[in-house]
Amino acid sequence: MADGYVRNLFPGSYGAAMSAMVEMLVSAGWTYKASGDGLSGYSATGKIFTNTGSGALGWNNAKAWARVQNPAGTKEWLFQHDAAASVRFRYSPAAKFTTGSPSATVTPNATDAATLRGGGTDAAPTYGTWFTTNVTTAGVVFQGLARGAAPYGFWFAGQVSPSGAKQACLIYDPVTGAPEDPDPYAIQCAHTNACLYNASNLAREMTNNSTDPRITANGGSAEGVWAFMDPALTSFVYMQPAGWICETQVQLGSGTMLIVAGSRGVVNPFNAKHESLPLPYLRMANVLPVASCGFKGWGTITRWTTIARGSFSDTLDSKNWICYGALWLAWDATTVPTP
Amino acid sequence: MANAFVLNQFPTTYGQAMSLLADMLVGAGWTYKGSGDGLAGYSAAGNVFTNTVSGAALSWSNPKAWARLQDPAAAREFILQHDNATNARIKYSAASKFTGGAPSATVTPSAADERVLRGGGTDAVPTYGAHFTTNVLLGASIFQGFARGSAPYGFWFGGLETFAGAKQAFVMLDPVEGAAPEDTDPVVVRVAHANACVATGSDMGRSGGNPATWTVAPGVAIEGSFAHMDVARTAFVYVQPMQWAWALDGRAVTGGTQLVSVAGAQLGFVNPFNGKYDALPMLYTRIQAGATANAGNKGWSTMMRWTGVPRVSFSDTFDSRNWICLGSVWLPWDGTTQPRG
Repeated sequence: MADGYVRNLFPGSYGAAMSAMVEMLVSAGWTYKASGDGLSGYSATGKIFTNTGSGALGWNNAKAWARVQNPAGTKEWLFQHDAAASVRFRYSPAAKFTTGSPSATVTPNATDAATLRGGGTDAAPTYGTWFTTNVTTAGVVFQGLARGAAPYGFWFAGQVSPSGAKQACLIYDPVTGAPEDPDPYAIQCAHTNACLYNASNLAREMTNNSTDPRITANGGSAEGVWAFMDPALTSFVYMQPAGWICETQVQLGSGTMLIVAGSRGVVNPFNAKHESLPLPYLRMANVLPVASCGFKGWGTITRWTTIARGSFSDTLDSKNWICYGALWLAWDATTVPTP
Repeated sequence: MANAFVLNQFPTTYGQAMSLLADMLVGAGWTYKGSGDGLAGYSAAGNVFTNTVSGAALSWSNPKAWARLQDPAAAREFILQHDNATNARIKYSAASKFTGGAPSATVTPSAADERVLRGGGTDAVPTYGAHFTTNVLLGASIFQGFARGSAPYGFWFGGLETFAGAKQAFVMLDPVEGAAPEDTDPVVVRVAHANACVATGSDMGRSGGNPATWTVAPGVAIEGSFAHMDVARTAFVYVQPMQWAWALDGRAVTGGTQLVSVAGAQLGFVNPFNGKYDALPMLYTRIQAGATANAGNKGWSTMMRWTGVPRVSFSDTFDSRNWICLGSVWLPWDGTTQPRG
């Protein structure tokens, strides 16, 4: 199936933004498996929505939700929002959202579900901030891509235009890693620090942060990257795309400067162009007894920019990549992005 | 041409060890373009050596014995020379070739673009950098090596005192992948001794936060990787394979020493899905530390991968013996031989 896109879109409501993301997936072969409009409209098998506004069968109601399954029929996402800038996202790598007591306002459950945003329960959900209010004035530009071919990676993200606050970032990045990995995906869910190399998202430090970043819990309003890190799909844990560094091994001397390529690169000395470097997702090992450390794999729809950008405006490789913060994200090879 | 190897060799003279390296290259298609035995034997066009007996005529085992070797593409050349007393002088020409100077049995030729990787001095009065340990004379140092018989003709050669003793005599020509198309010499050259293939402050683990380590010059007894980092090949400078870390970029440390977990050479870990150690690719870079000139990425190594956890001997192999360990890196191997040492 052809890839699906969201291109230079300025939705006027949170529901319209949510719908744009889901319809992008549908156009790449994903299917609605159930949905509820947050009022009384409910479908146990498909799409209940007929519009993106508020009211009956609209996406722009509090608790509106959709269960979406990938084209292989193997993995599912559950998307829900509160019509007030916040969302609740859950992911099922294998079991699927077939349990619970779903209704127009209650989401179904999956035995292996991992929560990426928000929390609470299916009947009494809580939400994590994901949009800014600029959405309601059509001030946020959204972009996205959903691969129409296996393994069906996708990304979706917004930014106050031009070059303002990032928001609403969800990256489902298929990785190339160990063949024994039953769920070779890394998932970034982020808001204002989306794709940024800072201590709130992609550059949490092992020793400088107040806590070991590896215990950063998914859900709520936490920003970061998570993935399953065991064959049994029981360990859904925080990881990070590592940057490159030149050091002996662990020591950074007083007064010196640590330089990590990935987000802080230099131009290539032979052609004066900035590099685009692959993204290795790692859960760093250390002396701390935290489980499931190791190498997850290489990102396939993401690459380091080596120099972070302030907007969507830059592209790479004949528009096959679009910049967003410190990452290049796969793009359509045609469209000039609106910053 | 087929790949060539040095497999589990225990030479007993320094000349034998040098000969192993030269003959491995010849086995992969390189040619002698000149040589001198350090006494009176000299060939302006080929191989003058007939033996490796110390002090003998036409032997590799004499002070100042040297060889000029050219790759199968007739593009790159090396000069290998030693003093028959643990030290060596090694030069590299990316394009011009060693056709200058006044070579003789004791004098090496010169090249307009030559770079001295080990030792120094002049062709007539060479100085040397430590390259072997005296254990070689006891037959107690094991040497391994690999030379690819197809373009771009990378190779590596290295020794180690048995068992798991001092590293020595490491020489590598590492063609890089992913180099900029404008790169006119997409290789990295590395010569190292006791710190060969170990990420220490003396070789592959120089700090990116210390500009002084990035101005280190090749030659004498310096260990490290060097490469041309400009189109005109005027800047032959230190480069280093990066490792992985989690840390904010450009963070100044205002007091005390910070510990930053760095994966690659050390602090690796088994893969959580299969319990195996990962072999991770290596990207050569020249860090822009302060005003370091010619900073940037060179390309990805084709001759090495990080082991994640360093080994103390050659004894471990990887991927059906297609890789052999030395220190913190995997190096290409023959797919058959169980390494000793």
